[in-house]
Amino acid sequence: MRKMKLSLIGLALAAIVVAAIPTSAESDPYAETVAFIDWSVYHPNKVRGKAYASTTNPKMTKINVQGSFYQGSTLKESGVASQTIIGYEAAWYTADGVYADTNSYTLNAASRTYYNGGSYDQQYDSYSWPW
Amino acid sequence: MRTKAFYLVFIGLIWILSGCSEHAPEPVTLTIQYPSVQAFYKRYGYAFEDKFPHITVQVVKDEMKQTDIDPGTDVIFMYSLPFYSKRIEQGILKDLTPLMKRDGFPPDAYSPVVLDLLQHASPDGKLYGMAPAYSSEALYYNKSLFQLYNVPEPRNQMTWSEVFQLAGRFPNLTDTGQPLYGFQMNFYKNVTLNILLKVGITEGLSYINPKTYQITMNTEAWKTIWSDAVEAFRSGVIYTKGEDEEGVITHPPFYRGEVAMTVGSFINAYNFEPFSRIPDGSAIDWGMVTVPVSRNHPDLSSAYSIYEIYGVSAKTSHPEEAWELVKFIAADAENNRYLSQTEPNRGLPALTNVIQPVPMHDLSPLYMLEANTAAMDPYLLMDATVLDAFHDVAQKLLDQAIHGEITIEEALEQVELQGQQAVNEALRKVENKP
Repeated sequence: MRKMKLSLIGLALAAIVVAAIPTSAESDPYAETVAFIDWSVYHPNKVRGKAYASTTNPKMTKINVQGSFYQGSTLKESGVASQTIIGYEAAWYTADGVYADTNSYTLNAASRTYYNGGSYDQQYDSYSWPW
Repeated sequence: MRTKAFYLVFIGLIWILSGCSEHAPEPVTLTIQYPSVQAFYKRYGYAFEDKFPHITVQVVKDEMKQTDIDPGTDVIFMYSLPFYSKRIEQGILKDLTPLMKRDGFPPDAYSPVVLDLLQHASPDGKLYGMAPAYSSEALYYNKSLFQLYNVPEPRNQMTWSEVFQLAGRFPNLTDTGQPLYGFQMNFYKNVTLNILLKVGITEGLSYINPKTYQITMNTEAWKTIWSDAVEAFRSGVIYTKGEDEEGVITHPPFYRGEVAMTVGSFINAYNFEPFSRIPDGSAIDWGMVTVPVSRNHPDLSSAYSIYEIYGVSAKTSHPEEAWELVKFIAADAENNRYLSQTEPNRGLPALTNVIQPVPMHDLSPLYMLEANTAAMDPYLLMDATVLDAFHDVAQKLLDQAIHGEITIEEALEQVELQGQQAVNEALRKVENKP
């Protein structure tokens, strides 16, 4: 799984895109599930997590992604995001401006892609801060 | 003297310039359509342009909704074998056989499974496209459960009937009273029907003619499958619960340790390790053997598929460069090794020597069987709502048969009758769509 490390600018752009339209533009031909954590754009010394998944499998009817964000072994946040358009991301973000970059965090992502006919695929990814 | 030196330098420059223009290849821009522009460059585009600096790749985003139209690009991407066949029939692809012969392609390490599938999907047996990866399935099993209940582990090339019998050797409850199942598959709706249809595919049976939409299921071959499956479903050893598409993602029952065996894609082999690292996940002591096979053809697997095929447009004005890109995507050792390490979910690499290993596990059950080339999924090009209409009707009748409300003979008779009505109705709706 290829990790995308967002720079400050990258995360800012991502946030702007998320605010404007609910998804970003590109994705992989097969289901891809990614968890990552990086510095917040707007809040110095804070980090933010993003779990996302996408697919362009023509049989896809829906893709769900679930993020679970831990500080040490304590679950701080979790949530689910969905997408029904081929090639677009389902993305879930943690709260912004809350998590100090001096602590240790883990973000787990699980995605499930539903296909025409009734089958599904499930994938996992995990990311730890600091990396 | 100075004049002579000037002429020498001048002639030298002319010579160098003319030499360059003779040997430096002309810059070429190749076009290709693909579902994701970014993904194409990440996987192939940048690496190809590095290797062939005179060729620029221009990717056109294509969500593959207009399958009847020639995309008009130099290289043509196809997402399935039936789609590849359709493109060949449309006459828009160049026969690659002469180029392959000339270039000694594909290399020895190229998967015979992929070659077989591509060759048989072609109406005239010639190759019009190449693929970098393919998908396969295996029967995965939980070794700990087999040990705990003293059940012999599965072996390669079992039939579905044998798998169901093996599943039946597990109790319905664990020692602590938790539910336990012998077998499960990754279906979230019409679960029992989908398992039954999967057995049908292994036996080379389809239920609908993709050209005429005629339903055929009331046959002796289907009856045998229905009888075996209904018996297994009644015994409760097969996990048959459906799931909602909404809400929290639960881990599949096999991952939760509630099921002894599952048939699933190669992705599972790469999934178990990351699953073991998440807080509510766990390490599964798993093994794998080949997918269940047909009794008549135990050496064949019907569980192979190809989701990425690349051909050269018959109309391109850059056939050599387009062929170079196809060769690079399909069989460049360095790039394919990198992709199989960084994105194992992309598929099993067609170059067999770059497959990403899973420590302590033998992955050969994923590719040791020959391809059942007759079992190409014809439903991929059919309207999903039409197929769903049949599935919903057939599932209700199967449920009635499982509950003993109707006999299997009655169910099969009604499946053809009611199933055909549902398909015809769905077809009418599709045709009347604006």
